[in-house]
Amino acid sequence: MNNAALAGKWDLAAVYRKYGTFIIFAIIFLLASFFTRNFFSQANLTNVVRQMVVVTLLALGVTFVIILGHIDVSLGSVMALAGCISAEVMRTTQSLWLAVFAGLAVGVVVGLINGYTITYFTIPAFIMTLAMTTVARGSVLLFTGGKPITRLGSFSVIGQGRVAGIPIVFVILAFFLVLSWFLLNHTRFGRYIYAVGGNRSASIASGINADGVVRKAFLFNGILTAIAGIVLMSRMNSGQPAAGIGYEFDAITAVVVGGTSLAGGNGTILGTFIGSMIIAVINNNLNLLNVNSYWQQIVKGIIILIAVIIDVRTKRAAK
Amino acid sequence: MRIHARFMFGITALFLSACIAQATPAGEKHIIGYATSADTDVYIQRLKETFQALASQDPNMEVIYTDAGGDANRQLDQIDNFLVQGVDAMIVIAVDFAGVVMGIEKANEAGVPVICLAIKADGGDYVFVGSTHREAGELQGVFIRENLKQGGKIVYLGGYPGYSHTTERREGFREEALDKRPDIELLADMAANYDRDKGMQVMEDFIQAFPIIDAVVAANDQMALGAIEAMKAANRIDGVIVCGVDALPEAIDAIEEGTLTYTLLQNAEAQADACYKTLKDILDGKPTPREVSAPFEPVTKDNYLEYRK
Repeated sequence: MNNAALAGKWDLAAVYRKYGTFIIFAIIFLLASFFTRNFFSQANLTNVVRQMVVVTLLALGVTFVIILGHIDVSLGSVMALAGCISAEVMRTTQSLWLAVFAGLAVGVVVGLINGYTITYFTIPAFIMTLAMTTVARGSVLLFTGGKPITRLGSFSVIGQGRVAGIPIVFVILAFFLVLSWFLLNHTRFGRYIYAVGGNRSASIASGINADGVVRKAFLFNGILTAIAGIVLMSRMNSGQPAAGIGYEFDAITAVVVGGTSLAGGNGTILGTFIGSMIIAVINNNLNLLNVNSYWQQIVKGIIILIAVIIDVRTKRAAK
Repeated sequence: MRIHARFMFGITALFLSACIAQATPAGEKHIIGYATSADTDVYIQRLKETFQALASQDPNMEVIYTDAGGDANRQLDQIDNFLVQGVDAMIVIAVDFAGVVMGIEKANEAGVPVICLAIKADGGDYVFVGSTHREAGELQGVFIRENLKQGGKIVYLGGYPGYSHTTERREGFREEALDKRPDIELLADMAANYDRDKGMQVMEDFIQAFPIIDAVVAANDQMALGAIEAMKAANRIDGVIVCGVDALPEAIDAIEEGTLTYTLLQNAEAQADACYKTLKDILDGKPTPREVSAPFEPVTKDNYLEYRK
């Protein structure tokens, strides 16, 4: 074994650690383009991106929470609550701005409740958000009386409209992608997220208000969840109280496939974005290839399992 | 090693999907999209199986089946995919009557004919095949109105909250029974999520709470059967009118046993058959009515033998 070979091997591993998720995405994309009829068409690729917007928005927010070593399993229910309240405000006032504002307010309130309860009582985020799951779902059913909210006027413009030929949902996605990336990579808040998630005690010892960072992360996560909810309801042009069930699973899968460790301390926005694209492309292909929907669920479960196993193994190997 | 593992992941994911994909041969065929709301529902599954049996006999018809798993948004994605796949017509069992409208309108724009099977959509241009949920509730309501004694006390077990079919069945029932017979006392109206276990739990609590219950009206058979189990255990079943919807084989048994009083058969075979015929008419360019009816059939002690399979 000579040095050059060793160095070469190391380089490859480093390259891989940095770009691995992207390489996987590229392979899947290429295979799909060759083997799946209708995949590589503008109409379908537009569909793929449109279909991934809601889950990606959720995934971006929960990335902050997961890097901190926390989790949020209430995304789907909170999304339904924020989306339905937004839809109801739209129905009664017919003002798009008020509707969006009301939806965002729900996200802020839920984010604050999650963040403060977790840090004040030092309870696990899993328990807090599990409780929030049923509270939010119960609230949305109570609020809507279990009926979908319809007659929303121009509400669908968010989910279906275009500016300068570009679907508005793409603009929303791009905006929050850049915002999340900026927050995590170019602000003190972002650095603190990694610090607290990597080693909480050390971060406190060096003077970081760890609880404050957790609260801010949950607030940001709440806001993104609300936006996802507004986009979702707008896409259906109705407030659906039963919507969003299981979306937290897709969002967390995207984050984990994107290389963020559930143990906290590392992860990137780009990784989450690529993770979302991998999930979206696989979903789209399973549909285009006409794969039985029972199988689809099994495939998705296997994918998350393999992603986590690889995550654990590469980390162990790196040590 | 590591790279190898990650590559394997990517490739396995796609191969897995490719292996289990049903081969889709190209050719001069009619491509049909068939979108179900949730394949886990026994009734929806029966519709699909009957339709599949009919469609598979036609060599010129290729059907793409999708399942929304009860998610209205995923159904819209699947309708988008149908349009990309260039379907000639689509059959949609809507997850939600309001949520599906955007999809139907898109299909209308693309000039793809739509059949709404079993559930009516709130808008868009389509042919409806089936019977409505409101009708099921109304028929239950009429039966209770005509058979319940003066001042009878009833409980209602509703379906999963948040879905339009749950609301429609409830409203149909209330209109025909409660609005027209104010003497009937509704003791409680509780969601039991179309689930047998939940129906049993809720009924157990009702039995504790209410000393007299004259009738149990459930939005489906599963809940009615659960309620029957609870009443049997508490020895409170005698003389109670129990209504369900679906005419499941077990429900027919319960009618024979004398515990279930009334259920409604939404004839899956007849509906799927009507749907297939309507589809053929559309593909052949024949004019089709806006609505093709396949009404509910009431099943009671008097006729249950006809429905036993």
